[in-house]
Amino acid sequence: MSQADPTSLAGKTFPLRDGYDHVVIGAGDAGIAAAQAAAAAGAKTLLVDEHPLDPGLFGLDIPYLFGERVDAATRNAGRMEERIVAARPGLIAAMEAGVEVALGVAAWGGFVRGVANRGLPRPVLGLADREAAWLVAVDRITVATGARDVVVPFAGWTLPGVMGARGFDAALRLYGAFSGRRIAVIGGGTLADGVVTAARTAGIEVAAQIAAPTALRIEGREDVARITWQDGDAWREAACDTVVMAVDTVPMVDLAELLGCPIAWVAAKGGFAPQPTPQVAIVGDALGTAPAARAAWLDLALAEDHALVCACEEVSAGDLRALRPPRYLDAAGPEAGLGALGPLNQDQVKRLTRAGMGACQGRRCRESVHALLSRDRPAPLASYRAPIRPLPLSVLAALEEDPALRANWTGWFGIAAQWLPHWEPAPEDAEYIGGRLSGAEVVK
Amino acid sequence: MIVIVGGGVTGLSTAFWLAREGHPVTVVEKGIVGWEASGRNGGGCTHPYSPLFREEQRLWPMMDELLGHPTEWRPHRLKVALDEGQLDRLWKSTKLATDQGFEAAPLDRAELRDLVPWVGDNAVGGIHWKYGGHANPQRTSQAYAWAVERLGGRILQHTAVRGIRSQGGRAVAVETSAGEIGCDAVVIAAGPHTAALAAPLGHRVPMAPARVEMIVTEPLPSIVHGGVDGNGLYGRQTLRGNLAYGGGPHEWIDLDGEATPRPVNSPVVASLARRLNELFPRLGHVRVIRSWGGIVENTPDGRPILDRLEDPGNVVVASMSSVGFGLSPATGRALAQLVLQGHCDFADLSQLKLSRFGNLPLDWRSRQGWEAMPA
Repeated sequence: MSQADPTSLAGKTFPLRDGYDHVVIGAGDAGIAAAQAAAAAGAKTLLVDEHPLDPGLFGLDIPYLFGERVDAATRNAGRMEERIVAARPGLIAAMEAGVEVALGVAAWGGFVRGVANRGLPRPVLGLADREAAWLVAVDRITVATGARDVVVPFAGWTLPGVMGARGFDAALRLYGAFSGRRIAVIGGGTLADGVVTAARTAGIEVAAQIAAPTALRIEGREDVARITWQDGDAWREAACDTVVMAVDTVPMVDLAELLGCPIAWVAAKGGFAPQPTPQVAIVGDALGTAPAARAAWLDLALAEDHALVCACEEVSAGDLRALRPPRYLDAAGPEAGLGALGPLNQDQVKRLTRAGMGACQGRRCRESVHALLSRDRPAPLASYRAPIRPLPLSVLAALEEDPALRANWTGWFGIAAQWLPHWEPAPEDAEYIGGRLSGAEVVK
Repeated sequence: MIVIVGGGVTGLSTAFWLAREGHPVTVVEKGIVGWEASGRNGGGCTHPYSPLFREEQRLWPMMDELLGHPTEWRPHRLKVALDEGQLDRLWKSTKLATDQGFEAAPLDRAELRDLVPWVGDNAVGGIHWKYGGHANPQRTSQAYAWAVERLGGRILQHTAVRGIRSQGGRAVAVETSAGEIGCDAVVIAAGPHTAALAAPLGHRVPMAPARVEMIVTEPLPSIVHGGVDGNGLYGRQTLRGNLAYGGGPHEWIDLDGEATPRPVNSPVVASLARRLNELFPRLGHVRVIRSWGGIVENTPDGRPILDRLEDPGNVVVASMSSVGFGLSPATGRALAQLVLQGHCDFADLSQLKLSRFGNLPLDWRSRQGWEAMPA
C-alpha cells in the first residue's frame, strides 16, 4: 500500500496516561474483592470509582436518582473522599494489597478493537476526574459498576425530594449527606424493606411504606409534601419530605456494552443482563439483580397518558404511544402512533420523540420507555454511547492528543475533488478547500 | 413495480418522488429506515459544489409540506474562522455559491458574537451564508418513509436483498430474504453495500466504506441561526438546543457480508470536544452527553455516482459518496427522472456517471491509501 491517507486514523495513536494488567471499575464490595484478588495474583491493578461525584452530577441524577436530597457537604470533594473511605474500609485493605485506588474518577468510555475499529492494539478505558479526561490501556477489565435506580413515573415523581433506593443509600451511607427527615417508601420487596431498615437505623422517620397501591401520586408545590395512594377502596395520605422509590434496580450495563459484552433480556433477572467476554469480567450487582415486580408497577404508572416518562425532554406516556414529535415542533404523530413503525426499537423511538435523549442520558426513563415498547416482546436494548457520564467540553478537551491527528485534521475526509464543482471533471491537482484546522496543504 | 434497494435518504427520497407521480414503488431495507448514516449526520443542507445545489435550495423550504411531517429544516449558515487560513478556505467555498447568485456577507468578530454569543476572542471573523441550512436527519428520513406509505408505496424493513435477477438485458426481479419481487426498474441506493449488489450485474462500482463519528452536548438556549460551524468541524445547534458536531479522522474499513458493521466510537470523541471548545471557548462547562457513529462510503474522487446502467438498462445506481443527507430532496427527484426518462432535466449529472471509473486500477484503494487497517 502506498502512504496511508493522512486524514484517516491509520498511523495515529491515542496517547495513554498509563497501562495496567487489570482495571476494576466500581469500588463496592464486589469491585474491591476483585481488585484485591487481581493484585494478589501479581497484576498491576487499578481500582476506580466515580464517587465522590462531580457535584454537577447529583442534580442530573447520575448515576442514581438523588432527588436533590444531598446536602451541601457533597461539594467538598476532600471531605467526601474521607467519608467514602470510612464507609468502605475494604479500600484501605486493597491499597495495602498493592491496588492503585482512584476515587472521584469516572469511566466514561471503553474502546475495544473491532471490525470498524482496528486502531487499538489493547482495550482502552476513558477515565476522567473533575479536571481532565485521559486514557489507560488494560489487558483485563472487571466491571463492578453495580445497579442503578428504576423510576416508576407516578404523578409528581419529578418533584425535588423523590429519590431512588440507590440514591438514598449513597446519600445516607456513602456520603453521610442525606438531607431529608421524614420519608415514604414505595415498594414491597427486599429493596424497600432495606430502605426502611436503613432509615430507622439512622433515626430517620418512616412515614409510610406503600407496597401494593392501586393508584399513587406524590404531591407538593415546589417540593415533596405528601404522598397519597389508593389501597383497595380507600385513599390514604402521609406527610413526608422525601419519597424513596424502592421498587427495583437495574444493573448498570453501559460500560459493559461499550466494551463489547453481549447484553440480553433475561427474564429470570427481570431485565437486561450482561455477559462477560474473555477480556471483561462482570461481578456483583452489575451482573443483574433478582427480579422484582417491576412490570406491574410500571404498568400502573404508565396507564395514565399524562405520566411524565422522560423528564429531561418532557415526554409523556401518551406522547410515546402517539409517537408525537417533541413539543417545540407542535406537530402530530402518525395516525397509527407507535403502530406506524413496525417492530419497535427504543433507539428509533428515542430519535423521533426524544424520550431518553436528555442530560440524564436516559437513566430516569429507559425502563419506562422499554416497558411501553415491549407489549408483545422485549424490545432490543437501547444503545449506549461514550461518554457514558456527561462530561464538560473542557474536561474531554483536556485529553492528550497525537500531534499527527491535529496536523492532519479535516472537517470531512481529505478528498480535494469532493469540494470542487461536480459539473466539471475532477481536477488532477485540486486544492483542498474543505474544513481544516490550519497549516499547509497535506491532502490531495 | 419500481424496487428501491436501500431505505436511506437517497432511496427514500427517490421512492417519494416516484410515488408522488403515481408509480408503484417498494423500498427494501435490511434494517430500519434511516438507521445508518442517513439518520445520524450533521444535517447540513448546503452543497454549492453539487449540480443539485439549486434544486436542494429550492426544495428544502417546501419539504415539511411535501412530506407532511416536520423535518426541522432552518435556513442560513454561519461560518466561524479561528485563523486567516480557515477564513481563506471559507471564502473559496463561499465563492462556489456566490458565483451561482447566492448571497453571503462577511462578519467581523463583534457581528459574529451578536449572532453567536459563544464565540471568543480567538475568532478572526466569519461569513454569513444567506443560503443553505440544516435539518434533522432522523426525522427527515422517517418523514420520507411515512410519505411514501401515505402515497401508496410499500416499505419492507428488516428485509435484505440477496440479488437482482436479470433477463435479456433487463432486471426482472429482486430477490430478498422475504421472497422475490418482480420489477420494472431497480434503484440501488444501498450506501456502502451498493458495490456488492451491483457486482453480480457485471458492474464495478468503486467505493470504500469508512467509519466517522460525532458528539452531542446537552441543550443550550437557542441562537438565531443554529447552523454554525468552523474550526474543522461540521454541525449545528439542533432545534432543541443541543450542539451536534463531527469532523476529524475517519477510519477506512472493510465490509463483511450484508450487515453494516456497528459504527462504534473511538477516543476521537475527545478530539471533537477539544475542537468544539476551541470554536466556542465560552462553552467549556457544557456537557457532552452522547456520541454517534456512522458508516459511509466514498467513491475514488469523493463524488456521487448517479447513473442509469446500459445493461441491465432498467437499473439505476446511486451513491452520494458520503454526502447524501442535505442533497436528498434533489437527489431523489433526479433519480426518479433517471428511472422514468433516462436523464435529469434540471441538473447536469454528466460528470457523475459510473463510466468515469472505467480505467480505475483494481488496487485503487491501496494506491489512495484508503485500505482498512490490518485485521
